[in-house]
Amino acid sequence: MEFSELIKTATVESVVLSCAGLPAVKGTLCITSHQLLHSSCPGGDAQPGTGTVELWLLIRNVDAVEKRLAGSSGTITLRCKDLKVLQLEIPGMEECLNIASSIEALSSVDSVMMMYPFFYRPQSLKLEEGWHLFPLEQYFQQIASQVSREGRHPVMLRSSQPLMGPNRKRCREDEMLLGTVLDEEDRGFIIDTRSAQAAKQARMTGGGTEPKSSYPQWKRLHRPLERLVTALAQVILDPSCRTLVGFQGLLEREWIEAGHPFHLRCSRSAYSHARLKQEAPLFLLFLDCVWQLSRQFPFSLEFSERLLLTLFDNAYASVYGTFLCNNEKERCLCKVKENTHSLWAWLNQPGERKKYLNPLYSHNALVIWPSVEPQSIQLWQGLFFRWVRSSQYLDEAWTEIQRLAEGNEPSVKESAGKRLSQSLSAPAARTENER
Amino acid sequence: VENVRLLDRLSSRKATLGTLYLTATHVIFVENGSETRKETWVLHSQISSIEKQATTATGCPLLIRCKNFQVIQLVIPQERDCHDVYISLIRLARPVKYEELYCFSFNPKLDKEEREQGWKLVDLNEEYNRMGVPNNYWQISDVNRDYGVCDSYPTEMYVPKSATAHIIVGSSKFRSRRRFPALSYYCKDNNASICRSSQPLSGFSARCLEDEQMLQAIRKANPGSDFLYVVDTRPKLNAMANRAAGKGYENEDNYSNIKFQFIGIENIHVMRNSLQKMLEVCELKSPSMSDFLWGLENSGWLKHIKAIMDAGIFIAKAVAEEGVSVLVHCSDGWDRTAQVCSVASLLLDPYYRTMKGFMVLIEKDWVSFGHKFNHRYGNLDGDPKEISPVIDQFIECVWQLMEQFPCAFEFNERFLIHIQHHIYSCQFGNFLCNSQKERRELKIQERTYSLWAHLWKNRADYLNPLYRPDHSQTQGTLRPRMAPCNFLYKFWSGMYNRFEKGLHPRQSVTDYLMAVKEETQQLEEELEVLRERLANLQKSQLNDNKVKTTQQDRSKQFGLSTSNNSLANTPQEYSSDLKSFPSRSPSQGDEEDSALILTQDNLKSSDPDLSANSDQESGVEDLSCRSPSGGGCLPSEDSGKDSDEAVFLA
Repeated sequence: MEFSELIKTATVESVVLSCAGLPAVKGTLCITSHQLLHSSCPGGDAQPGTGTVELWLLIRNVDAVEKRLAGSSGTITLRCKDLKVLQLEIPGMEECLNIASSIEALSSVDSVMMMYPFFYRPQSLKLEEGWHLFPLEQYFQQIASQVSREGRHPVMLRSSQPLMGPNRKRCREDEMLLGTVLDEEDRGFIIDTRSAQAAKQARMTGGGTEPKSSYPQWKRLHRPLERLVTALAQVILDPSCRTLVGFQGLLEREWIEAGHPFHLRCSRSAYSHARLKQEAPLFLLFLDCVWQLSRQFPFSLEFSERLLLTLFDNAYASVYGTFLCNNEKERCLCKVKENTHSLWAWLNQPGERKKYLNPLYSHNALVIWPSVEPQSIQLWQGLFFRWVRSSQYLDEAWTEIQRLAEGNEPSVKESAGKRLSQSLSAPAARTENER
Repeated sequence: VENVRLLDRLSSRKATLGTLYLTATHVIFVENGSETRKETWVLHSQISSIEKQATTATGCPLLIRCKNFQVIQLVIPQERDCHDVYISLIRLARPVKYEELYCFSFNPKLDKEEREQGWKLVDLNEEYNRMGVPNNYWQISDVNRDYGVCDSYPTEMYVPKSATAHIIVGSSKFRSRRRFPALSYYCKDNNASICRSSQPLSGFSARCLEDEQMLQAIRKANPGSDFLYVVDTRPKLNAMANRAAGKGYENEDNYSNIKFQFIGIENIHVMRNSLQKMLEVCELKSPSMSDFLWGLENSGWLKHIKAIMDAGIFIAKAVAEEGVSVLVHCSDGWDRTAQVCSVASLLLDPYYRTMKGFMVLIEKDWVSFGHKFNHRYGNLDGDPKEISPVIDQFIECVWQLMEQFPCAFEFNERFLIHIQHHIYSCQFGNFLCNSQKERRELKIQERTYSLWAHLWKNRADYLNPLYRPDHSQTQGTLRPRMAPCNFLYKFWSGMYNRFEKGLHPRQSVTDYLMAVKEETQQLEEELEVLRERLANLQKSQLNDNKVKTTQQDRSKQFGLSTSNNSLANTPQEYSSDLKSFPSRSPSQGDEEDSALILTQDNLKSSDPDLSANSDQESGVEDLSCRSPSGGGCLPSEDSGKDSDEAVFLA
């Protein structure tokens, strides 16, 4: 497949771009294999004195395309996976239809190796950077040395369901494996995150649950939780998962290497009409939970809301390879680590890193038990209202907090204060790296 | 009563055993055996209901609900004791005479002069002068000097210069309870004003020349505008129903150049029921998310808050953007009218967003214009149908604005919570009675103390660290947007679930930033002093080489006492280093122990009633050590007693 075949019209003049909360701008629209670019005519209809205003949009970010024709022109509404909504008024009916179908086709390209991370080559980063920051062996070595030093600790393991099936098959090796985890007098919990009913039904298709008779030391609980709880539990329990780097390591370990199928789960988002069976916002749920933690313990996470927003954006559409594919095997086949850049490499650059830090952070060695009463759960405005309304007053408050907490460090103040409004009003700044 | 158990709402297993005391003014529960001697104090005037439940094997449960949203569940071993406590509380919680209220026995150990000074802190004459009246258009009227025209109005208020006594009296006869139009807020930039009154007695066709002249006089006092908005804050249906009773609303045809507008805010009965429903949701034991959200939605509470806010926004816009004056009324003009006028003033004028300005605002729109505090908040035993959370709703509107404009207010959430608390506590005289007339007859100012002076004394507790007088949010009119997605109305758990400490953020950003701010300021001051000394030292070294050694010795000694010396020079007039260190607990007797406390649990106040049991969950303990100076910090105790509180005799 050639991208050029999918692009029916590459350039249209006098396209009016509008987006909630911002003045509409007229300019030239260009479609490339992976990007949509809207550039306002210098000295044209754009606000005087502002020069060129550019919008760069990763076409992978487009979740739904709606077109409405009126007379000789048409309007395309682009609903993005990051929940942004853009409107393009395009003169010429044919151009409008062509642009719409080009965006639709390009945003639906499903082949991983055709995606932008395989083409994206920023000068400030090296390809191999960031891919081996969190070797799993090292993590387990740490645990092992801790155990040998302090004796046996409670551990958390994860697995899929046992393949018991309708005939209640057993597996000696599996029983032994679980046996090795516990001393003789110890007891453990098996948490099945499905309902008891759903687990029972799974037997019909060859799955099932661990029967008490075969696993006598284990007590099985059915809790309607999702797999994301393992990772969340670690943020609550373990202070090292609450640092910027520690959190990245946690995501690598529990989401990426553990084979959360990002490609299936995040290929479409809230606006898509496609209603894919495998699509589900599990990662977003996890991020939201972490955000709730950050509200209840504002000093205990080293990273800020901005990191969570960036992770959300990148899980759905990214110039980096970190969230590509469904598991390690696929990533190896696609040579993701060899041919794309790592998000972590970019985030951990000194200048970049700063933007994601919480100025109020102070190491907290204790467990941070959150309140889960409904009164304590809040709507994540920063995410769900990000593109809907101006966050000016809240951003100003954040700037004030930084100013107070960090003394008068102008550089940090500058960069963080305008985080969202800036990315909205000058999309060019946001996608600078992508170019 | 001994061996009483105090239950924890969130987990029934977490009960504490202790002794229950009833005094003339408080219910006090003292926990057994705890080293910190944890105590829970509840003022009788805070009690809104007492419920005796069926006796169980463990004892007789007693449920006490408070007006500050505290819910206390006790289990008393003997049914007989429980009954006695119940009967006593029923009587104690429902005083029949003003003299029985706490403010008449409350003695904060201030002398007469200090008390008088306290009452002078908020001066409405000064406030009207600040607004810019009297001037060419507005003058003070003493037509009501002996409360002869309207007994629920103050003796003095501002009216248009062209409104003669004849017009005022005539207009008052055509208004419910004779509450004629008077000035609430004047905008000196464009002469637009907000006036307030009760509904006209128009019935289906009645007219009153003087009332028509009165409205014309208000319009003319704003020469830049050729019409006047008349805002009836009631739902149209309610206003129409009033016509049958000879009341109603202004007919546009009879008044020249008015634009009439309904803004549907519901009446006190609807609001009372709405709060009741919301509190039921707050009290649910481990509700699901949808139980909570549906319950909240069905209570209608936030819808009512939005209606009040929208009305305030409408009026503020008319004044600030259109330059048009507004006359606001509801039925009697003392509930919805007070809410809406004060929300509009708060949006319009940054002064009301300062601590002092907010006190002034409540005195102006609520206290002086005869909001019926006694009836609405049930201070004395009375008609339960008169009770309604009118000012609570205003206070919540302010909180909702604070959430949207975090840098715009000089005060913090705690300030609002403490004001709400004291509207019900009857510890201070400010909110007693239903009118200025009643308060003067009772000689409130001579016999009780002012809340404002008390709050002002502890103002360090109430500052918003994000507030800066030079910040853009502090300037001019606040312009919240009305669309729901632009202005998110949130459930205020800090108020309605105030005593469920476990529900709130475990770390307080406000307190932390306040401490940082204060410390930075101190360090800067210290630095300044050291610089000066250094300069002096260098000078003397040059001047006198002979005594060089002695000088150095002395400067060493001097250095040791640096902080004391430097701080004595600060504008805050701190008397000692320890006191001036950002301690959030001025109420604690032992200042040295009251290190920097940052957890929500330990928010200190000068009111013992406001400190509840702390829970020592993990993740919280370490936070008391979150001192920016890294200095030695001790976990706090919640038993901090105000020295004012000499009532506890145990």
